[in-house]
Amino acid sequence: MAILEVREITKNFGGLTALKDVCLSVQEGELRGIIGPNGAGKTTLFNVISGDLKPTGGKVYLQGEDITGLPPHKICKKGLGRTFQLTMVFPELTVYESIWVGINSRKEKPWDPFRSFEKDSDVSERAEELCRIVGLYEKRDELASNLSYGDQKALEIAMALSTDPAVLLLDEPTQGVSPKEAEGLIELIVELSKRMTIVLIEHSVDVVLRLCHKVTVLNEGRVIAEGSPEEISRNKEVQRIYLGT
Amino acid sequence: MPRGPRSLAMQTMAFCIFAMAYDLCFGYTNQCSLGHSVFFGVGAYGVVLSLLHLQSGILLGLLIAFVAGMVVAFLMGSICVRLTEAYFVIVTALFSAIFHLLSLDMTWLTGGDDGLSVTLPDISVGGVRLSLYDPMTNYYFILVFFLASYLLMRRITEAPLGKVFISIRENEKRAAFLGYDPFRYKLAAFVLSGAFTALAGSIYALTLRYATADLFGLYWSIIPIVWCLIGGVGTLVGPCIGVALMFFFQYYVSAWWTHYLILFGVLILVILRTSRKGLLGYLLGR
Repeated sequence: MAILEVREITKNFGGLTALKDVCLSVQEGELRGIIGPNGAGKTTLFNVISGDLKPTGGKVYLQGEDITGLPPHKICKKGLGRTFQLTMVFPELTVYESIWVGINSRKEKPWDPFRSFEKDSDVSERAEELCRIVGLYEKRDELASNLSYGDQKALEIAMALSTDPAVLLLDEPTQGVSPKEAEGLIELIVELSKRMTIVLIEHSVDVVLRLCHKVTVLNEGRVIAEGSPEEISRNKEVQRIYLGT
Repeated sequence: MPRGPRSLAMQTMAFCIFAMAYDLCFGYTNQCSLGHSVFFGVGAYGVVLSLLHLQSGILLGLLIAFVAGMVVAFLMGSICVRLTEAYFVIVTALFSAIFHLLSLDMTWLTGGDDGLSVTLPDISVGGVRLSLYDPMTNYYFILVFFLASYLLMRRITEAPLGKVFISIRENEKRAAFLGYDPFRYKLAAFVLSGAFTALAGSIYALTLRYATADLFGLYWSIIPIVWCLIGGVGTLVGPCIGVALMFFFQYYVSAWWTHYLILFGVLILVILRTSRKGLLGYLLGR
């Protein structure tokens, strides 16, 4: 059974159709790539799946459960984590605190005023572990706003991981970062994909074709191709869109 | 302790509770309420009416005021907290105006502009009887509530809850994607803020020994913003510095020049121009 199933999602913004009958079926453990030119509807699809936008039509199932139209905090609790194309960190929290807040949301009483911030060992251990996983352990006491853009992208991933998701949506995790930092982030994604299901939007077609098990191509709000990297790179229509021939 | 500074200290402490409570809402969850005079007035009338009509005694009266503030904040917050930014500000201000007009009008309950005076009964704690007419007892009584409020609010802001508040302030959408319902947490901050504001109002009414409809006026909604802005938003100590500075101007500078508010206004501009996080933010940021 698919862990994430998108069925005939349509999203209209007024007269503009951003997504039209999009279907996507992601198996457990898969690393799925989504590519497509600018404006193809990739981020809109993520926004619909994660609850930021309500679809005009269609259904989204996560682990067999209908999550269509639920608010983001509920979808997060059902096991979905996501990052954002333009980083969305907490500027005035440190790396450690940002991750801590995410782990805390999974506690039974995340609001309990009599639980100490410092002394909750299972939260703090996990927070430190996540700092290490994304390579920010040395910078854990830095304010998020003081991090480089690449480090903020890494922090985004750590925050998405902090809620212990079954499915992770990554929206252009290497966009706008230096090639060296991008290489580190790609290694991290490969490492994570061994343990969880990941759906990756990526601008760089090369990266997606290199990493992903299966690739979906969106154009003008529709799925135009889906298949293994080899199939996609041979697909005539994909070549036409990307090369303009 | 001489009389002047002592009564000044007592008022300062009551207003510090108000300022810290306001910052729970303003500084910690970025909700710029113009409706806090509602809670201040509800607190003041809560204790005064309990004493007059229920003969409740002072401690129970304060508890009633605190709970009343909580309930009113919950009802008001259920409407206002859903709104964002300017809409939130305007609707909270409307509530303040409604409560002010009603309290002016319902003289049978509130005494209107003239207010209601009250005689303070003795407090008996563990067989000891204390009278708030004794200045030193009154002073320590307020000190205890000030410290208790500070410690409780510090506990809240340093606990996970405080971090969640800050994360919502920093990026509400991101906090939602980490599994927090922003509405619920913002409402929680609003209710806690309202309850402690009511406590401040009730203590202020006890020092005045009366409550008047003026306590619902817009002045009491705006002044906490000023305290927080000059002292430093997003902290508990900052707003207290704001209160102290304002009192310094009100009592000492005013003796020297009646138009001290002009100076104070200039000072606010200078402080905010230098540091957006007020005096405390400036000192900590150096």
